[in-house]
Amino acid sequence: MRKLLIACLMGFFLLGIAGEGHLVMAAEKYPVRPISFIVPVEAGAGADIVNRPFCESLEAVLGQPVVVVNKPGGGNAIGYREVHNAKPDGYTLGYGMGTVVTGKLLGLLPYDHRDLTILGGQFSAVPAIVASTKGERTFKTLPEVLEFAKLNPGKVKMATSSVGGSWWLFAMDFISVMGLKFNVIPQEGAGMTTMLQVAGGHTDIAVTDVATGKALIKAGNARLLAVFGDTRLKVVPDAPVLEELGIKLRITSWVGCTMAPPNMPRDLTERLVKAVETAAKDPKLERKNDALAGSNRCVYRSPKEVVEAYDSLRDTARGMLASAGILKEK
Amino acid sequence: MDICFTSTCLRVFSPNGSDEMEELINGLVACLSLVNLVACFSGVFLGTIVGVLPGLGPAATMALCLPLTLSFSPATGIIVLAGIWFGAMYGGSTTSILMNLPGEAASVITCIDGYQLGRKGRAGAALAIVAVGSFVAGTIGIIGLQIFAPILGTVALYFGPAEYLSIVVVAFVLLSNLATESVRRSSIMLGLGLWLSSIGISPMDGVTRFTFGLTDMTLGISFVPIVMGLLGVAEILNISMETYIEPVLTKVRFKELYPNKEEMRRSIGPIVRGSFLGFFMGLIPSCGFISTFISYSLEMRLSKTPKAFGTGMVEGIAGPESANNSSVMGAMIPFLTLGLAFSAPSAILLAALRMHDVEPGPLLFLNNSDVFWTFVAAMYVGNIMLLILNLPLVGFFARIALVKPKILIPIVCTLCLVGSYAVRNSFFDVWVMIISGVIGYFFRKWKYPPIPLVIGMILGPITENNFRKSLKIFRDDWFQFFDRPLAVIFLSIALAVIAYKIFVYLKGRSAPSGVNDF
Amino acid sequence: MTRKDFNGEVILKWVLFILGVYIIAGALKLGVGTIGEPGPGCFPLIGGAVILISDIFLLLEGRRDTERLFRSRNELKIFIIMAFAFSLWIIAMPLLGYVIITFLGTASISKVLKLEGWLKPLLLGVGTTLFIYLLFGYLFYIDLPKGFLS
Repeated sequence: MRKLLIACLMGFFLLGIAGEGHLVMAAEKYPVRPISFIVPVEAGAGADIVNRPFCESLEAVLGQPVVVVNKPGGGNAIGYREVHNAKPDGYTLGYGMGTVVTGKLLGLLPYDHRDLTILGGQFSAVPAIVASTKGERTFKTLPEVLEFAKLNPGKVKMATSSVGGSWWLFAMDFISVMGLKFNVIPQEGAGMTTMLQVAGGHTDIAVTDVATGKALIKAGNARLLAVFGDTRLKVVPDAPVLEELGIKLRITSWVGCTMAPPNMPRDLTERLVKAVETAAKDPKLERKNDALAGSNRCVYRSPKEVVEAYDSLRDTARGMLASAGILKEK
Repeated sequence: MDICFTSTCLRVFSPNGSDEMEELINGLVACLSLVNLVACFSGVFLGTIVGVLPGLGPAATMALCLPLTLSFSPATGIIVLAGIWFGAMYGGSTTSILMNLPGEAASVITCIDGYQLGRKGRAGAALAIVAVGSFVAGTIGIIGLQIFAPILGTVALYFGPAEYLSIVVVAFVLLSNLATESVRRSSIMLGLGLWLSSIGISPMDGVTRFTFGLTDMTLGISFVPIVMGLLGVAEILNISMETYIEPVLTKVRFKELYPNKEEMRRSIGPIVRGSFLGFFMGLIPSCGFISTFISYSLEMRLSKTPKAFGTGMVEGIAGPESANNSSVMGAMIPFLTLGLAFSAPSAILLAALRMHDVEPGPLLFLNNSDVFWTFVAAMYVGNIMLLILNLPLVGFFARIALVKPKILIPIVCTLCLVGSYAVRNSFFDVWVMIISGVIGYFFRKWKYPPIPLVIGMILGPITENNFRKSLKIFRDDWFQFFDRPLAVIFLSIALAVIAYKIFVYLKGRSAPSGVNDF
Repeated sequence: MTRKDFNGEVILKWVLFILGVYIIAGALKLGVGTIGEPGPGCFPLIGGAVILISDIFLLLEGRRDTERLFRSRNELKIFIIMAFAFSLWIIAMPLLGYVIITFLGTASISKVLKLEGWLKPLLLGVGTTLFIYLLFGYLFYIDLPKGFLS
């Protein structure tokens, strides 16, 4: 009898922990409990760090903790899958980048941005072109690079991120629009390794993130030639933008947005879209983001604009991936 | 009179002038403020827990603490985060020694002899040696950081694909003596490791390899779940099947929980060697934890009883664990001087610094040198705190080793399962662990050594990527490869070692007692 | 057990052989590339070749006297139960949540290992679950599924 009593007590105790007080669900006055924000990279990676301040801003708007959950892997596919398969109750959101488009093109995912609920874009990022100062070829300006590459096709060594990755797409776009041939050397990972190649003089130029390179550029190990896109970056105001130099590319920026599972109820979606807009335009967010001093900018895009940007990315990327031989739409 | 004495001391101890010593003292004063001391202690305490728990890495915890650190001064923030990181380095080998369960890549080597020491009843001694070794290595590392930071920072830049390739060749050659069992079985395991490391998305071409159509496989097989399974779960299965024999000694004396004189004496050499080895290898991006393997191999070569490695030699844990700790300090140098963050924890530190408007790089020493010195001072203090924290814990953990398996095993099982999930928040990893555990059991019984597989998995990606990158870079002009002094040096070392081994082998053949295991 | 001649290692050797062939085939399909432009298959080819060649030597070596895999029926039983319990833990987790699974799992495994009575296993189960909850769930906030109770 005594044993039975103890067993029952333990049972209730356990259920108590398990339920964490959620056994009684409040009538839906969203949100009543913490929200998961799935980031498809590991803790400490670029996309993870910039989203933590964003989640804080979102928390201030929604009134409940917005917790970053890392689900890395598969070229971000794992994280996107988690968002896609979650319950559309507003308690699971996620971060989406251009890889949500390329994921389908590379055959990693059977769906892309059109099968998810886009709530709004908060970030925009572009890479930069940096040149080595101590290799066998040291270029001082971008026109020099273009000149040399025209006369010596395939000889200029360009380091960039892994094939199919963000900066690789920009690099490929650049190469095909300019009609030149480079010796493209992809690197594992997106930022540090690429920057190291240039700073150490192992390659001539690189297309990579500005943030990873700042310290090295300041120390004189590399030279910033130009920045992609059409707006000067606050963090490197002296660097010319490709558009100023007369180079117009098809991919103009790497858009980072907030997503939710498909089939979300309309009023919940509207509520979240407004929340994302407020959070993205939060001046505190901009300050924290600028402090991170990277190529990531706070740029708000409405859901429609995000989808447009991704559609355009899809069309451009399709061609590039096909010529690289890795197009595998499911 | 004593002012003269102090200033002479200062001049002796700081080669760059007495103001460096002054800065350090300022740093010490700053870090001894109550806020910073509490920050330091919380960091190392949290880090120790993170380190002991297998699978869970410091990065996730550091990321969680990131927003908290923003409310404090930059130095305080860095102290907390670095404390977590450093603390995790101390605790990582605890489960390796107690349960043959490596909590992260750097603790794998400690399993080999550490666990055997545990089985012999010397778990406490092993844990204490690891703690002391980590302390010494940490101190040597911090001193190295302090004195050489500005100079050695640029070393990282010299390592391009050619240099990495040559290092890997040297590593393979040096580590060949870790294949203690039959050569055939060891090379199969090596091949398996190399293949397993290629599963997933190839970084250089973006194609998926050997994924069997599963999305989860495209992420590649994570290293930690495999070693947890191969070493830890296999051992769990093994122990579950043994009939438990009560140890004859029912009372364990306090003295037995700590190392005896002999063990301490034997550990000194490995600790010092490991510290220097780890520190210098840490300077090379992404090469830090390989130093644990190299240290083990080195100790085996230097020992008079190499065959005894694997049965519980203290040299086999003292060296690697010291290398592990000092490599963290070594990695801090390119981080602070050039902003190069190659691991998740250092990336978080970088973000924290930036959020505080401190930019690592040459300007760090000009504009924010107080941050640097407070950090250095705090690392000294934190190191001491960790030693004080860990030594009593040694007794606590050593007693855990004596708990009956019936009670311990279920808890360890849960730790394994949750830990392998915690690596990447993925159930796939847990499956990987279980399957490698089951297969690992068979490997054990049939004497297929796990270490070559581990080496294959670790060195695989570096080898492949740098091999392919080198081919691309030098395709126009191969002779440029020989223009690179570092690469040539490493390759020559490798060739020299190979030549020596062939020489020894041939000499052994002519002697009647030469036993070939091939 | 009764058939002393059966050496299970042979199965492993043949499995490895098939694996080696499979890897090499897969590597060739991925494309080995040329010297100037090595393809994705180049490295797995080396891995597969190492496995295959070493395995051929192993197959040629013939039988070796090795330790028995399972010394008794009982050992085999425990092995299977443990493997099964681990797998069940993962499968049932999304449904029942980690709290219940940890509790049940810990208690059952300790029973398999012959922990006396049933008060001790239950206590152990509760204790472990609490420990995991505090550390992983609360302190380090790992996203462990809570099953149907969420």
